[in-house]
Amino acid sequence: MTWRTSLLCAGLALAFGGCGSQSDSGAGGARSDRLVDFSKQPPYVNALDLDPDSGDFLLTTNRGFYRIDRDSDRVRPIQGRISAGDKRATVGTFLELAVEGPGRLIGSGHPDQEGMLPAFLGFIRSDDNGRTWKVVSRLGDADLHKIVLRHNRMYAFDAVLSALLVSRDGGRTFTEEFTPRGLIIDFEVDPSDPAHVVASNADQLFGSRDTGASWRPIDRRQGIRLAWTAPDKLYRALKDGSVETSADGGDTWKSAGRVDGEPYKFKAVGADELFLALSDGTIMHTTDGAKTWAAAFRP
Amino acid sequence: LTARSKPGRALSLAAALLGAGALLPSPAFGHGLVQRANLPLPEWLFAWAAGVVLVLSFVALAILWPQPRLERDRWRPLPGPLGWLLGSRVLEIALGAIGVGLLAIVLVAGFAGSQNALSNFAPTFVFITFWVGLAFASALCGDLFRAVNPWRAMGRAAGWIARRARPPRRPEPPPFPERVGVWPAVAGLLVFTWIELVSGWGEQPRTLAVLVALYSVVTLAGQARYGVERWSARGEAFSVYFNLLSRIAPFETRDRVVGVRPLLGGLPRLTIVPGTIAFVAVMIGTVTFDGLSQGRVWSSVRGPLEDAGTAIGLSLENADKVAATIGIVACVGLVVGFYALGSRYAHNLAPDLPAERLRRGFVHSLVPIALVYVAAHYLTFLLFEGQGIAYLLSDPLGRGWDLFGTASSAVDYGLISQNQAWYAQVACVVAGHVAALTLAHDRALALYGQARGAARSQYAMLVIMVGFTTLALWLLAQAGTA
Repeated sequence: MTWRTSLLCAGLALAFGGCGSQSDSGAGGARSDRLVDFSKQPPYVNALDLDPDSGDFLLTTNRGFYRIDRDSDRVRPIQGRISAGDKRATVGTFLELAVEGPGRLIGSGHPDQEGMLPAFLGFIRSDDNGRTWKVVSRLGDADLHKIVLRHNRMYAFDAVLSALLVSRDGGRTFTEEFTPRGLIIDFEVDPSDPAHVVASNADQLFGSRDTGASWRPIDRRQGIRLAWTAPDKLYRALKDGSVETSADGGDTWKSAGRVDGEPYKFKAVGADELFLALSDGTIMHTTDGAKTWAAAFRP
Repeated sequence: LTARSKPGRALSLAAALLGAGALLPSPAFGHGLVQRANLPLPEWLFAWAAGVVLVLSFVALAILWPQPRLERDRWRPLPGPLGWLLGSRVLEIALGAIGVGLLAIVLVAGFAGSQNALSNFAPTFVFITFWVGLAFASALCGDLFRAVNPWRAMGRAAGWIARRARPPRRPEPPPFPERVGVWPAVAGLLVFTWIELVSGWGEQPRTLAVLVALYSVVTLAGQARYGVERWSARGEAFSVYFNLLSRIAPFETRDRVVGVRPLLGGLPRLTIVPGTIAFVAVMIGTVTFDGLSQGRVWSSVRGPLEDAGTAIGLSLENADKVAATIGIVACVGLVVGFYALGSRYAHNLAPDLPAERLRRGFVHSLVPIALVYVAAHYLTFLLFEGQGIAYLLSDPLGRGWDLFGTASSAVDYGLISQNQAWYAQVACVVAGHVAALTLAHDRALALYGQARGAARSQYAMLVIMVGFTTLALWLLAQAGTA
């Protein structure tokens, strides 16, 4: 090997080996890293929901699963255990979850330890508020990033297939439709039409009128997060913290308000009342259709 | 080349280079891997496999391809009347009229249509149907753009009218300066890709229409000065671009007859003029930057560049554009430098021929690489977003029309799965680089006239091909990691 060949190899090695990581700052000022590890790649916050019994926030991040008392702001980490056959692991980080009923959670994610269970846990369920989990389906095959329960169906975005999954039997079987290119970061289902879905990737919003079989690009915006609280109330929060509403399923938008930070996850509790988790786990609250926001929890 | 040409040395050299393939990013656990999450094999293994295919191809060429084959002209007309029909003046006029019509729709849509790029015909047509779709079509079917080129059609029509109006004493246009070569086309291609990748103007239909109108004026002026065919061959970026890619195709029109030739058969007859190497480098370098800009490496480079830009008073948006411009120029420069290094290396290994002759002699072999960079990077873009032209054609101005009954159609992202796309992309990359090796091998046999010198020179080409292959696969693996 001549020196030129060596030089070439070294150049290639340098070029290909220099993959640094960079965190995503988003909007807003100082961020707390109490619940979120900003030294890692996004996403930072994976899910936000409310315990129907206690009203506690259920927040999952890249650090873990937290139960947050709304009155005292007390934060309790929850480390769940999952079993499949004779194998067990803990779960909590990067966990997608949705509340199905009192004490009953559904979700998806990854085991905290590599090698104990497949990297993709598929669709999982807990009947004790997330302390223990069972695999329902698609172990090793599905990584559901968001789950929506609506119209007696379960809709989910599977990052493994890059597909919208729809189940009518509680998550045992699914239909699959491919979603637009790129990782879908959020989606919502029209409260008045089970086939009408909107979804966003990093920089675009798409709409589907046939439950994901085909899609049309609607708009270009960065980091769109969605909540569809009523047929004429579709909300979106953008990466810069601005919040907008649409009365026509996403074709046109009106500015509503703004939060100080990068929005991550909506939780709607009424047509005009929503919570919005920001990138560091701060939870904002509005009761007037996103015009004004107040902090419901700061980490 | 023969078996005596030390394929063992080639193997050891290539094996060392294949180490670069192992440097492809490994799949990260969980969310680091956002696409192709269920590939049956890790991505680095694809790089190794691609490298092995190249080395085996190199050895097979050395043993089984002892005489130049592609250098010989083996064009023959299509059988029966088909060749005459496809090359007929009537068809040429009809296709030219279609081209002019599409140009008119782009201009009208841009100026008078919705300014939402997603519901306007112009951006999708220009950047997907025309720019990407025609690249694939050219490589498969031949120089289609020459037939549908609206500026050529308008120029020829204007010339025909002028000749009929003043037949006797129309002076011949001046000769195109040889030293200028295709540099105007290089500039045109660089500006177009900058507009596409950096400016953001492509998202603004009206701005895009202004640019198309300006380009039309420049092109028609160039045609008026130097003649339609000369300006198309040297100065008009898209004509040069699509003509280069069409040389891969097995079809070529000569004297108004469409004929067939071996695959890649048009490339050995490429006339190398000043700027040709730069043009091919821009083809590869700009796509390289597009791939790079979607990955982590560029994210880590862009930040300091933007900081430097804002420190001298630029807005963040402009600093970002300056950073991207530097990135494009650097990528083009990297391709030029890499090729020059390979040529110099080839000269050192087989000094029978001057380095400059080697540099010019092998540049045609980079054209398949340029194609596969486009294919690998934009295949899914064409297959998915390209479907949008169906509903945009029915409603080109975004006003709720349904001219052809397709306005309610949408994009089917199930047309090809992500894994299938990945396999197709890898197959394209490997096939393109094997094609490049074949072209280079064939040219080496013709240049050196003896197998030994040809073999030595080809070690350098193998280095170049493995380098470009690894880069292409790395860029694919980078996508979405930013």
